[in-house]
Amino acid sequence: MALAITIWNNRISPVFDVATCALIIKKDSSGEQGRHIRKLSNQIIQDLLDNQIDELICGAVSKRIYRVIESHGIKVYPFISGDVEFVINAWQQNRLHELAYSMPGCHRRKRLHCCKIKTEKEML
Amino acid sequence: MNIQETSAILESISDGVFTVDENWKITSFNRAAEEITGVKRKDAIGSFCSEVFKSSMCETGCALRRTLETSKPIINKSGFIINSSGEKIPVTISTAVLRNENGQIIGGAETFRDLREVEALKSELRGELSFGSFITHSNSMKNVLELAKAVADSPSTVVISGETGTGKEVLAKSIHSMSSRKAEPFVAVNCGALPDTLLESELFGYKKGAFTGADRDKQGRFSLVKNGTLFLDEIGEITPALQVRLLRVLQERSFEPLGSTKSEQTNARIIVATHRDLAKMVAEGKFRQDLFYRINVMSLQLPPLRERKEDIPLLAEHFVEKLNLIQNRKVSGISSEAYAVFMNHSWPGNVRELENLIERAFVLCGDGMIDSIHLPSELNSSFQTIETGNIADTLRKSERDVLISALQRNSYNCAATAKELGIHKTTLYRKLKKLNISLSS
Repeated sequence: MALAITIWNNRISPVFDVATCALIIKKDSSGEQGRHIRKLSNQIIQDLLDNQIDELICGAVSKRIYRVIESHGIKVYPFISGDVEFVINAWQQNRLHELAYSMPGCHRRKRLHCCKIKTEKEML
Repeated sequence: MNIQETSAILESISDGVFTVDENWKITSFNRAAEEITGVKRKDAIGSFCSEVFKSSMCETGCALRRTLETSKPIINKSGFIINSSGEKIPVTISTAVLRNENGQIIGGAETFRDLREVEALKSELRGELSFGSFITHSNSMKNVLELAKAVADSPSTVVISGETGTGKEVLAKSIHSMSSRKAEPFVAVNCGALPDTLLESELFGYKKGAFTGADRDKQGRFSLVKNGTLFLDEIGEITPALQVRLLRVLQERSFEPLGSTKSEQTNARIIVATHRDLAKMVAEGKFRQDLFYRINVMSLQLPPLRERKEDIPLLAEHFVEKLNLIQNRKVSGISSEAYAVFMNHSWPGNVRELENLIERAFVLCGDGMIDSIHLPSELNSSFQTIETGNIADTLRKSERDVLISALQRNSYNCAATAKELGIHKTTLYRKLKKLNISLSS
């Protein structure tokens, strides 16, 4: 599977809609198989599809773009902030929903799409 | 002026204001900044400004960074921010340098203005439309819009067909606003709403005394439109007699008002729309063949909403945003359960029906979220949950049914299936794997 993380200055890029760079990590059952950095075009969703991304960690993302990405079957972890390596570790340990990785002010809004992943987990 | 007075002023203004230190951490955040960004002051203070403000300019065009580098303020730079609800908010920002008593730079200050109301008013004044107002990521709609863009600047007559509520008039206005005639009038006539005699006088006008009750001259729509665009909706409803008159106008670019012997010229661009199959009507003798070929220079077919259900979330949220702005409300969105009902509905009234439904739900939902209980009972009763009553499983089943149906129509050709559904082939494979759909079926 392939994970994309939009990055800027060694942290998660603050706004996905205009992000310019992504770290792509390939992983299989035996672990990480490699990572590379890719410049993003202004056709950012097409870039994700062309790289066969399965999961995306990003900062703030507008509702419309979020729905489009989701409709392509890509699992999105939106409104995430922090140092890239800390966030990758948290993702590997399934802890991205923790307060420490939320963008400031995001964690309180449980029913909005920025916390949709946690809400979906609660529903299932 | 002391700190308390400054603080009171900052708290009273409607523009957001925040300050940062040299490490780009927020040091102050006024009340308006909280409201516009959706981030509380106590969450903002000490955080990186880019992660609080979430602006389109942070990564590549940060005005504050430029100001601190050059010591020059920047005034009214435009961009957008994304608030904590995922709403895209147009803003203008201005920046200033903060210095200590020794004149050393200790940080920066940024003020920003929420432009949503201004943008909404501007749209209304313009008559709103550009192709950007078509909300879609469906391939079938994108193809229509690309064709519409291509024909916008030509003088050719256009036929827009589609079911009721699919946006025929919206598309016609968009074509007009993208054309060189955008400064000229856009005049619409619903040919199905008026009897023949009234429609004739409406289109061509009349002279005083032309008939009983004609006590003064009246300009028809062909005169009023001048060099603009005349939109004739429901063209399939006009009688054979009016079809003849209309054909003559299109051929000779002239017409006579009722009761007049003098011809008037017209340079109007004609766009017609219908929910009927005009070619079939020609075959049945109900529509003139020569008129059909005269108007059918460019043909645009708007798909019904049930054929582009992937656009429902985008459209629904657009209507929520629009109504929040118009009604000054804070409805936070639409629940997954309501979306499940939407995806199961066949939408005979198409986009107009969806918009009306959202407006109805607005009345019932207060300032919370639109849920399935706010939807008409007939919509909910037609939505059958599967035995476990689990919404996530119901959505999976609906998606599974849609995919299997599309595969069957395309003989299990994945490329054709993906194209029909308007999704990338990789996305299709991912969904097939996730939903355990075997291609060997």
